[in-house]
Amino acid sequence: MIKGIIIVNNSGKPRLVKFYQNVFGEERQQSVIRRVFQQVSNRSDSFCNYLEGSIPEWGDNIKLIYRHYATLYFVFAVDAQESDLGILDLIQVFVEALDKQFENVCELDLIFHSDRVHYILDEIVMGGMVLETNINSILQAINDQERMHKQSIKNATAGKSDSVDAISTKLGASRSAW
Amino acid sequence: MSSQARGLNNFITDLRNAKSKEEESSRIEVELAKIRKKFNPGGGTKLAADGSNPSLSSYQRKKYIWKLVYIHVLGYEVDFGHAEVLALVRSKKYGEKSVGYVALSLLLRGSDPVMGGVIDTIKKDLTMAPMTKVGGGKTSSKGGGVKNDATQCLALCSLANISGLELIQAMHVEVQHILVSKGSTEQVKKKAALCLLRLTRTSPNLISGRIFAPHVVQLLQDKHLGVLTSVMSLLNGLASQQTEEYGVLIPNIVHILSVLVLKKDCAREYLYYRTPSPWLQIKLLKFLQLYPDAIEGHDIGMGGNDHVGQLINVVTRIMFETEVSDSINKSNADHAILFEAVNLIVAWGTTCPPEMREGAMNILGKFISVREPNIRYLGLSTMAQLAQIDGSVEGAKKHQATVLVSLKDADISVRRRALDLLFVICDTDNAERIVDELVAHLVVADASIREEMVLKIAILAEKYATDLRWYVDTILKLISISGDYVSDPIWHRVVQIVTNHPQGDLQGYAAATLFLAVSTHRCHETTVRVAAYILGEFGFLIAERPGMSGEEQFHVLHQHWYNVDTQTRSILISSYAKLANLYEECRPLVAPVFAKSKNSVDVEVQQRCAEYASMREAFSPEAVEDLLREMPPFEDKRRSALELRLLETEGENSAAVTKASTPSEVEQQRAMLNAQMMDEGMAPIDEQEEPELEEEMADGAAEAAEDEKIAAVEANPTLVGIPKDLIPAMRKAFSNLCTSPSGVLFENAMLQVGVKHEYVGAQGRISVFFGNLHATALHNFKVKVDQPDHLRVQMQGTQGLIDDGEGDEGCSIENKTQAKMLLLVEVTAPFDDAPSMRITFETEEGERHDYPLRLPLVATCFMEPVNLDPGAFMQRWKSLEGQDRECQEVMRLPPNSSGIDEEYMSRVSNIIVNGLKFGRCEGVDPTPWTVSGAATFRTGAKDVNGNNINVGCLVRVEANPKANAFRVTTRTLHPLCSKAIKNVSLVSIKLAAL
Repeated sequence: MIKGIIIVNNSGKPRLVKFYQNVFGEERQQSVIRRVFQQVSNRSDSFCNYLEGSIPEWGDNIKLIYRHYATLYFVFAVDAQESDLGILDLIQVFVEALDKQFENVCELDLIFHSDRVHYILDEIVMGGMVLETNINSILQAINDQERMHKQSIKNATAGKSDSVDAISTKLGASRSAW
Repeated sequence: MSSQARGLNNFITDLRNAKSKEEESSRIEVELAKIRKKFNPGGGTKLAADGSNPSLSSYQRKKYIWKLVYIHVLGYEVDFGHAEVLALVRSKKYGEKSVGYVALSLLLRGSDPVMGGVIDTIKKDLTMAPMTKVGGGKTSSKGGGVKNDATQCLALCSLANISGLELIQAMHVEVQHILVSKGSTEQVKKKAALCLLRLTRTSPNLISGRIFAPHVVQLLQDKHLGVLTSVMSLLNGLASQQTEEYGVLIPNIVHILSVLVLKKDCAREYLYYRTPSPWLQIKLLKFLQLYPDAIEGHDIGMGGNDHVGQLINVVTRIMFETEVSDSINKSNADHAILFEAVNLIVAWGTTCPPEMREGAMNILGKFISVREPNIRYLGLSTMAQLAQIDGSVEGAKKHQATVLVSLKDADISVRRRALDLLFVICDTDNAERIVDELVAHLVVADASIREEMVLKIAILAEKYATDLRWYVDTILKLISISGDYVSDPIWHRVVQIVTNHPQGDLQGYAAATLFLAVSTHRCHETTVRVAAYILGEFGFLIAERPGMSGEEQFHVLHQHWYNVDTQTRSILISSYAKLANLYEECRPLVAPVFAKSKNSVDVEVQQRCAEYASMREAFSPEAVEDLLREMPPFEDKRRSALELRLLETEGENSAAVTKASTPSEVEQQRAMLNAQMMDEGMAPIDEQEEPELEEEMADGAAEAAEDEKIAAVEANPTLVGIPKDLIPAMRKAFSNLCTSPSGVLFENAMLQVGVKHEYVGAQGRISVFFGNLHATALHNFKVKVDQPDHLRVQMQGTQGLIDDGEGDEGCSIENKTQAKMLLLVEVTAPFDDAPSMRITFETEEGERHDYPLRLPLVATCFMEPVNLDPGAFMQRWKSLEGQDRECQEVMRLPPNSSGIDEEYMSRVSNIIVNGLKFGRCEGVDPTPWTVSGAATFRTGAKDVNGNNINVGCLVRVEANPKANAFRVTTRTLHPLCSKAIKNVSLVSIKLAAL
């Protein structure tokens, strides 16, 4: 299973942190993040995307599988049951979903729309297991939520629900890494 | 398109503008205080029953909670606001509910007491009746149906993401119901599956496989690949807990897999870079890996119609038809499946058709030579798994050279895998090569991998050493290259192995090697520890070798005394005690160390010193002897400390651990050999040339020793060797005989060995007499004389006496009679040792005796004096200057000797002239304090012109009466001659002091 997902920028600032195998206490969580960042940021981009390490909070035999996109490291900590390459693909799916949602996503989107990043991740990974890998389906779920969200805010300015649909039609446009 | 509140955005912007960590945290403090105030204004404001502030608007509440979430992600502690989170969760509005659930899973944990209050809400959301799909029309199912779905999803999601929520374990019934219910949408089903998995993870056996398996069959019919993927995750989780219950599903799984692989039948949106849902394929293959004997006993023809045939087809297709793609993502996806297929073959092991295993090995062989690091990494890692199947290691060994390249990769992850694979493919054939490569690499390896390498090298060297001397050498290299990473278990193991293998000359070899290793002033502390232990135990085996006397052993060890910690000192102290016990001359050296360290601050050091120092007064000599005796062999544990250490670092499933715990062939042989010896009632015999070349012994302990009854070699009472206390006397006798034509070489209560020898040029005639001093006859009496390369030997003697290796009976010597042996020798080359002679016999009482001795046949026996005038002597002396031609050593006489006077010098002169057979060159000795001489070492070997080859030798002894010391310098054309003459001179001069 996936023990945790950490998105951290090049200077070690966490942008998204999700613990599926819980680590209690901010102090310990931050120490995990620091340790992960230290190990990952020391590696050249020409190295492989795997790092066998031990994060005591998660146990001895965990592997860090990560991808480095521009200013961000996407790090998944997994146990031996996961397929190494499968997780790399999953990171790619996550990033592509973000890319579709934010149109050329960048670090700022993760900062200012952390709520939506959380929602998207919840559609991809749940309880440390892969939930969905079909980007259409992921975004559809997000859009549905968004629509309901807006409906439920009676006093909010009525957003055009078409705008969300417009995004989903752009699917498959840019799949390159950013 | 921001859905976030402006206040939140402003707050985030503020934080991003913070110049320092301090500024950021003070901004956060302000914000937290503000939010706290908003949540609980105090004063007149009344809070709702659940503790939340009813006066907050929905917008405000969400905003503040998001701020808390954001602050939490930044790593600050958030310990309030729980009531507001719960208020959001309870809200009827989806917008509030969703925020509430996200915050719930991030800010709270299952064991929080407030959680109790939210259980009912979660349960209600969970069981919310889905809208029945009326006619399947799109419009009718939208509105409320989607909303109910979404709420259910939120509840499922939070159940799955909050861990430690014991209270909600009971909800598995509802979750299970949702999962199998026909009314649930795909979105809900897949979340229900994962949620259920989560619940069974924390409490296994929640679900009985027998009852649930049929439901899974239903679920596997689903056409939605997202649902299938989640269901497979659940199934894999369940099946790993109750493997047998789900075995019936194999045909269903194979069917799904073959649709994906063979027919490529897959909804378009689940194609990931044109590959049909790789995640689902991976999960299907992972499920099959749980059943290693799935194909056992089946007819594995390619065309088989049953599911096994189909499965083989699928795996073959994956293995051989995966194309190399330019797109990194496409190639990742395809290879992910391919690696799982290989893992399946690994799981099948020997039940898998060999051609598939070979195919897999070839594919991996290609992978480990590509540049793309991920594929190479996984290739190495998978090959290590595959190589462990019986019969596959040979295939992997072909790639040894490629693996060695990866061992030098810049990437630590790749290096680790390469190291692991090398470890797995190492066996007796290639151990030396691999270990040497690893040791060579250790020199440049960086710190992160050193410890692991050292441990693995140590295990391999032990496992596959055909010659344990190589093992000892390897460990010493490890210590000198990276001593800080050589943990205690590693060097303890060396000591154990040396102690437990008395066969061959391992113990002597280890002692000599370690002696040299600690001779240099700079050596690692671990080397000192090993050396201290080994020399303490087996130093006596080498005490007769030139330059390795007990005294010298003490000096090389003691030079490190001030640089080592107390643990090492404790070991040194025990070794000193053993040295002092064996060698009289060590006692005055050791005593001050003990006296001084009695006041050490370290309790261990203090205690050892005090006890060893007073041992002689407190106990009888026999008891002291007993205390300082060699350690008995170590118990052979099933798992060595090294294996345990490996287990600790790598876990039970690691390839390396499995390998380390299986004994190798050589190990088994060694164990058998040891066991045999025990069975036959024979202690492992040390074939090491036991005693004597030269060496001092300062006092009259020899006489006392003569009467001493021979002590039994401890491991076995029926085999008797030379007792240690006899050794000083034997040494003295040997040294005497080197310079005199006849004498007694060995004597104890049973046997006396006498020698008479005379020489002409390169030839000698040696008679050896064996006299029975025992009350009864000695039977099966045999003598085996070593025939070194530098001597041509002819032997004759009493019938049966000479052991020619054909296992004859040997002769019997009646009491008070002698057996005789005559040796005719011719020397053919310079040498610096003496041939060994081994005597074995049995008494009528059934004791077996075994005495390894040496014949006093040293280089100086073959000298012919040369008389030179002073000018010629000095000319030759100068011409022979140079490192390997000269040998020099300073020797201090024992403090209790009478001192150097002119009478002593005349004895020295006598030794040089009559003992060593040198021509004295008095002209170059202006004072009485020097003696110089010249001689020719004659050999029977011919040069190209047919003349005998001779070596000219010069010696010079200089005395320093004030310092009570001698300096002996020898210069010859041959280094061995220089060394031999120096050794014999030193010993004889020292003997002359008595």
